[in-house]
Amino acid sequence: MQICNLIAIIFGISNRKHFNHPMIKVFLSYLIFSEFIEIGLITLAEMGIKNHFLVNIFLLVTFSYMASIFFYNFVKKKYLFFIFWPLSKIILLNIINIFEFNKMLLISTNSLTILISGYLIIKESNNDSISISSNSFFWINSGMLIYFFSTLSILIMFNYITNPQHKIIFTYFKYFNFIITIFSNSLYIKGFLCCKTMKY
Amino acid sequence: MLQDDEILIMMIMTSLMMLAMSSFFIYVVLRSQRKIRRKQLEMFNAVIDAQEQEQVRIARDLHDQIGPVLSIIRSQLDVIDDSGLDDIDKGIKKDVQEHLATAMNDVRSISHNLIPKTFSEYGFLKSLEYYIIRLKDFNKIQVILNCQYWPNNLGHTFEITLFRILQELFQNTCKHAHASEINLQILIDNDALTIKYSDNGVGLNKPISDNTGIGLKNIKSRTQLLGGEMVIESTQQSGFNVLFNFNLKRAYGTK
Repeated sequence: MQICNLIAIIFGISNRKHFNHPMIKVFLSYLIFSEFIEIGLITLAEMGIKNHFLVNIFLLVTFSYMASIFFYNFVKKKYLFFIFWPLSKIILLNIINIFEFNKMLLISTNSLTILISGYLIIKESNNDSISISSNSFFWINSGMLIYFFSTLSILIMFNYITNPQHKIIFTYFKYFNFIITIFSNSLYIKGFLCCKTMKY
Repeated sequence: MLQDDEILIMMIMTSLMMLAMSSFFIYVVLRSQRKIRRKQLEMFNAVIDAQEQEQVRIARDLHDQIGPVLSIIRSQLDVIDDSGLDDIDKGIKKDVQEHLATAMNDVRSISHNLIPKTFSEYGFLKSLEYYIIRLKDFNKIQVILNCQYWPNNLGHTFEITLFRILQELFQNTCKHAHASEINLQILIDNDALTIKYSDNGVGLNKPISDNTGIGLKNIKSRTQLLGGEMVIESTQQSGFNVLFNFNLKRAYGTK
């Protein structure tokens, strides 16, 4: 079941020569890293092993990636400090708590990731030079938003998922995660396809 | 303490609700942007129409008003007898005649660029061939045109807009691509018109999504105006390639 995480990666790698924007290559690297962490995470959870370190790493990498895109594209110099300071503080807190399970911190990190991806979607939709349905960043960010927004509830219930006494909840999580992964991976693939050729 | 069933129901409810909310958000953004695009297109349509009409008026004014005045000046100059002039005056007369000839050529050329000379008489294909011949002469560039058939009932608006698209592409290649060859294929299959344009130049030097040049924007907008689709593929190794697809059923409506 976890193989579905690799669909977008395989597609991205096989089409990487068509990538015409450096941030798409950065996204592919992030995707490879994060999807393998997720596969590891689910496999360990299935075996009944709690691994908070992997969860923390997964969210930290995602948040850092989103924050870097946010800085790279949109932040004007005069606002840089006001946004950089809280974002870097969250990254720092995540690093400090990397071996701990701090639910509130994880939920707030995930929520901020959702907010940033929502902001990026709105920003990309105002890109005049290309139609929205052909904008690879729009589809990629949509995939991110759907995945992280839908899994926010899972994060809230994380204690139950990793508890072997609540096996049925873990089973639900596994199948729900599978559907969401397929959904978000399809959007990533659409993003990669748009990158190959720009249709107006 | 919550039971498994209760937790499960809670999880199902919240996760599905969140999935629905995020999908709805994306759908709303997509839909509102499409609406905005459609409105922009309508506005652009009106601008293009006005622009074409203005170009026709300027071309006609140049051809019918400035042209005859220049011709009269030339014939009046020719009437002046050289025998009564000294060498300086003869030199001045020759200079004026030369400048006049240049001005007449420029007026004709500007007028023809605004509305191709052959367009109203011979239509799209002949005008394109005429334009390519001139392009080859002025830019030392090899242009291969492959078009077996062109229907003569496509309508003036469709043909002139398509001509402007190709003109813009040719000019982009000549100005920026450093290409030595352009390949243009026009294929018509039932109601589908496919145009393949390619050059062997340097291609686009930045991502297509970042390309905000006015030329490319114009081409994109004109293509949308004709209800067509445009696909660009550009790499530094393979030059610039663009593919247009038009549904001719829509084009008939533009007559």
